[in-house]
Amino acid sequence: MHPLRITILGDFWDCQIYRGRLYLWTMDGRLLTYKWDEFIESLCVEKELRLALECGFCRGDYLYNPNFELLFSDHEIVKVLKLKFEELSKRTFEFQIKDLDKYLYGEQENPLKTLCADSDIYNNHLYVATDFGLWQTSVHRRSKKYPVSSKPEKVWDGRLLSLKSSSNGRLALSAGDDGLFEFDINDRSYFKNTYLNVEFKKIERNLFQLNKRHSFLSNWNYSSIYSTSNVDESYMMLFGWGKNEMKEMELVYKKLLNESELFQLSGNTNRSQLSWGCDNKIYKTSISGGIDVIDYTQKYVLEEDTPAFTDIQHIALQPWKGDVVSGGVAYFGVIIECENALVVMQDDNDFFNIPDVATRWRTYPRSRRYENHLHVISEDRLDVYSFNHDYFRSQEGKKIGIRYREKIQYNQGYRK
Amino acid sequence: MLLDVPINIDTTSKYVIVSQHRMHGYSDKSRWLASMKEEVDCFIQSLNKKWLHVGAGWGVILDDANKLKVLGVNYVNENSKIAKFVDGNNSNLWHGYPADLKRKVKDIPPISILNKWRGEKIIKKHHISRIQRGVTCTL
Repeated sequence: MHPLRITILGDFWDCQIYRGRLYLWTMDGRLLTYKWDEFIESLCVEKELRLALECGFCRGDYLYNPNFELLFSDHEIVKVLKLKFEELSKRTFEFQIKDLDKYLYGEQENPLKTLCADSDIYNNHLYVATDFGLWQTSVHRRSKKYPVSSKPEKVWDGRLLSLKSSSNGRLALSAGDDGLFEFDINDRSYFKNTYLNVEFKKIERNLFQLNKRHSFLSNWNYSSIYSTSNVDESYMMLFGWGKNEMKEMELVYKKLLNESELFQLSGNTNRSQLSWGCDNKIYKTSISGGIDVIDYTQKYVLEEDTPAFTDIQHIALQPWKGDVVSGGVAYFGVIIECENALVVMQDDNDFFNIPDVATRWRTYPRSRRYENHLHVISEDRLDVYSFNHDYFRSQEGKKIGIRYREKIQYNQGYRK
Repeated sequence: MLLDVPINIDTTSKYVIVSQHRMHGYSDKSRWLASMKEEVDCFIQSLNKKWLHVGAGWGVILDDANKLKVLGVNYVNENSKIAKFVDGNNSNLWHGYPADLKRKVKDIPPISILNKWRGEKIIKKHHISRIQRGVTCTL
């Protein structure tokens, strides 16, 4: 099943989508905020394709609704829905940036006045990694002059390569040879107690260095962090929730596991290219072109009897399109950034190749309504892809892509 | 040109070709493959074009086809096409070495300089992003 696509032509650097608004950073120093949902509503399609269009681009959660389970057990209904997505995927939606003027909520100078290494949004706040540190500023503001606050606050001086927020307000920070750090957005005391007990290095009030080893990419496997390195061995820092003497829930650091320890049972002797994790999945590519998959179960992390890591499987594939340089995971599949292309391995065993070399790509698995999006910025455009095959597949036992679970809202942290 | 002897670049700046970045045997140092003249010219270009940022500069060497040339190797013998220059004591006495973009965050050129290089068609937008994210980048 092919994804849907909307192309917006322009010279962009970064993008985010959050609570009905699309944020676009331009190379000439502007930040444009668009009313995304209204823009999607305005697209001309036949009435029969409206459902697929809305679900595809602004209601990604709709068809995941467990109430539709009975409906989706009817193959004829599924067939009809799939046909609608297939039909829409053949349409071309290409726009010049000026075509979106009508849906422009606000245009402002980039508040950071520099192009960022990475960004993320959590609980109406934008977190930005720049050459001169980590910054935060508020987003989704009413002001049309400044939809994003023009007064960012500096969180930390450290230079970062990437950052990723968890669903409950922890920010994983990769700082290359300076190591892996964590910033607790909500400044909770129990994090500090845990971290001081295990002697993580305290950098700021709610910012700790978790490990000195190289990290260029990090992501959350629920409460644990997978740190990816392209010069050293990648590793996973295992955290779980336990009860303290007062019977209060507390975060517990268990241990660090190296990539080689994690994958030792796979029997795959192929030299690893790169590994990364997210939620219940850890992936490792090998030079031969295949990919190893491990299933991770967070609730067993503190238990000795039940293994937290199971189902190591190897999926043989054609050789990659150049070296694998980075990766990600979404519900709809695994995203593999190769030297010369972006490859999406879909859960329906299909592949989708994006031949352009991406300047940046983003998925939004922690979003409430855009979890099926893949945004790809290349030299002269932003392509918004919408993958929709995953609605029709069982979420249990998925090898490719993370398992969809109904989202619990932690302190409004989930992206709406 | 002699190793470890300052060369006058202009009325204020001097440049030293450091032996540690020229000779084998320094296992933790990157090493120039470009000639000493190319190294000095690379620095002069960086100075003239103001590819500088807080006591540091970055440079490249272009070949006849206007492509980036390998100018050295890092300590694990991987090619480097970007040089970093350092004014160690803030005294206008500079030295330089092949940058190790993946292993050393401090070697990564700031976005302002990467953007200037894009403006001069030395690199493309995806190179900027990959360099800034510490991702493997074939220049």
